[in-house]
Amino acid sequence: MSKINCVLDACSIINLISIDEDDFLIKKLFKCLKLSICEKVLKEVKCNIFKKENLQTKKKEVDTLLGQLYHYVVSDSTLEKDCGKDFFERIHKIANYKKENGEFYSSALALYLSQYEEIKLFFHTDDSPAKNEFQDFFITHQIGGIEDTADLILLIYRLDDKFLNKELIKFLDSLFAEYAREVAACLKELREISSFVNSNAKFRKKGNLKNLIHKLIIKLESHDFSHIHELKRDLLEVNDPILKGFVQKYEAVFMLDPSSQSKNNFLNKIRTLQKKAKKENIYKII
Amino acid sequence: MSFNDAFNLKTNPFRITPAISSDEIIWAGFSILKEKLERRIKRSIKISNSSLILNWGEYGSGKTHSARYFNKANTLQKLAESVECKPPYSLVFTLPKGKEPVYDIFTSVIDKLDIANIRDRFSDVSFNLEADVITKLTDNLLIQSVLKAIVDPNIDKSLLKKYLYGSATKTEISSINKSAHTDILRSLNKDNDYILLLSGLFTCLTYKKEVFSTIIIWIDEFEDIAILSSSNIDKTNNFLREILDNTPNNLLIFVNLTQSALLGVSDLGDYIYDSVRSRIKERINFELPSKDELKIYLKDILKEYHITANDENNYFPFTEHLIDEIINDLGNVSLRSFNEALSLLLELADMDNKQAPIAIEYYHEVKPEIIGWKNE
Repeated sequence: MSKINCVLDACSIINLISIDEDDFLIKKLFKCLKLSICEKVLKEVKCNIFKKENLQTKKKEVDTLLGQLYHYVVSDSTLEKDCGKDFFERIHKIANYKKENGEFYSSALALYLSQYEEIKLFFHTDDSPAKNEFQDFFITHQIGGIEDTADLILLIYRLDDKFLNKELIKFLDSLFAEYAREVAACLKELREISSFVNSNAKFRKKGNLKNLIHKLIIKLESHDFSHIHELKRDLLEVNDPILKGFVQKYEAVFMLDPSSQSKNNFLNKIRTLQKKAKKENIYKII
Repeated sequence: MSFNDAFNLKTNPFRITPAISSDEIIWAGFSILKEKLERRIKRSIKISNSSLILNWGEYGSGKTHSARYFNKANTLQKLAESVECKPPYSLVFTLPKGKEPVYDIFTSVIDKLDIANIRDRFSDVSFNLEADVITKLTDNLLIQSVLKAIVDPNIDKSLLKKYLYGSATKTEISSINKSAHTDILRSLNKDNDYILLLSGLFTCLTYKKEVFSTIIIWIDEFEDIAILSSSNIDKTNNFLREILDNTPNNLLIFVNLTQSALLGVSDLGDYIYDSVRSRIKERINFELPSKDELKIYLKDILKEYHITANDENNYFPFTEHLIDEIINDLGNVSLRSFNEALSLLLELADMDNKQAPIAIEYYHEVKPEIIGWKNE
């Protein structure tokens, strides 16, 4: 096992399991990295993993995998015992982050591990907005880096000498398809909503809403995910149950909004990495 | 006054597109496009050669509606009667986006396969299906056995479908073999099995054009091939190539593809390989409609929905002058956008209790709600 420590978010775990074949990636993940997962992330994984259609027929295998993940869980009570009962409250204040989600608890866990074990580590998540929110926190506390699932796959590839280039290309491809499929489904449903809103008198005074949906469609059609997080917020402000349900259903798509530092969205990044891998520009010394 | 009385319409004809219920699927306007599609279908009904046709156009240009219209039993019956042939066997499905696209296509076909109806149709053909067709179309004994079982009236239909879906037990497979005197020794589980069985089935159904004249498959939303993994892009292309090669007669495949920012003409080669592109016989473009085309379309559709005929004003509850203005204001838009605008105008007029024909002044009042938001 390498000495590289990783904290994993729910989306990264779910995506890895979803694109995996015969537990190839998961076995290498367990073998190559020192993993840590917070309780909240495991709960989120259990809650959401079977929303992936391809995993619905593999319930038994997936449940076995989830059972193995318990081994890597660091409980909240451990952190509170070592750092005080107000530990999470303090992180909320310092990070200026109110939500109680997997990203928050993972960042708290990352801080704890980095200081208690005197290491730098990586937190893997595909939630770009959350990445933006915690970037500063990670830098200030010198915790390490926030990376995504594509980076995690590259890391496993680098660490495992039996992980071949063609397998890397295949898994990056599957990861791309995983998100692109979600975007296509989101776009299809959004067009149906648009048709309904544009032809229904109930929405007559909602010019702003129509404009918002129209803008989002144009962005999704061209895989331009910049600022879609803001469009999501605006959609939620309309306070319509159909729109709320739509946003919740396609949360993963809204997470593709790239960080303010990067103009490159996640899908483009995967495509770029695939090209590099195909040209054999990813050098493994060992 | 009710909507029907005020506007002399059975319902709002523009409300939901494309239509889903069979009764609502009508063809209005666009006679050139209709003729192209009819000509292609009639050719396949009459002549044996298999064909692959690419239907290409922007979102909202009518590709899905065409698939649904030409999948209707009475549409196909009329086309077949016009060339004095049996009707086609037609299927519409969307491009599968799961991990096993060939299996998903196979399942779509089996879902719609009415085994009882098929067996009934084969009961009075002039040929011996087993001797003249099944044993000659493939040397694959498994496929031969499965095809025999499909047409054998002694085999329980539900049991057979279980086998085709891959969920039959060994005991159930043995029971099929016992009843049909076949040698089915394993389940179907590879892409090649599914393709061979489908092509065998299609060949049987269209042999001598006595049961069906041709098989028509519409694959909708084909542009989603751009989001598949490389492996599934390969499988999809492989499926198209193999099914056409193994069914050289009486198979017509329409592929509906929406051009978009992600998938333009220059990108096609990345997703549709040479081996498939070379098999495309024709590309039918679904263009953005002209002003005249929109007006003819509108007259046709209103005629269908008028409760009582209105010979004085074909555009009732609109006027021609109003329609001209709407079309000018909308600019170069898809048919879908045109439908949405008219649907909203009708609904607003109904809500505001306006008399028909709808006055142009009223349209000016509500224009910001119909079109104006696009300029914000």
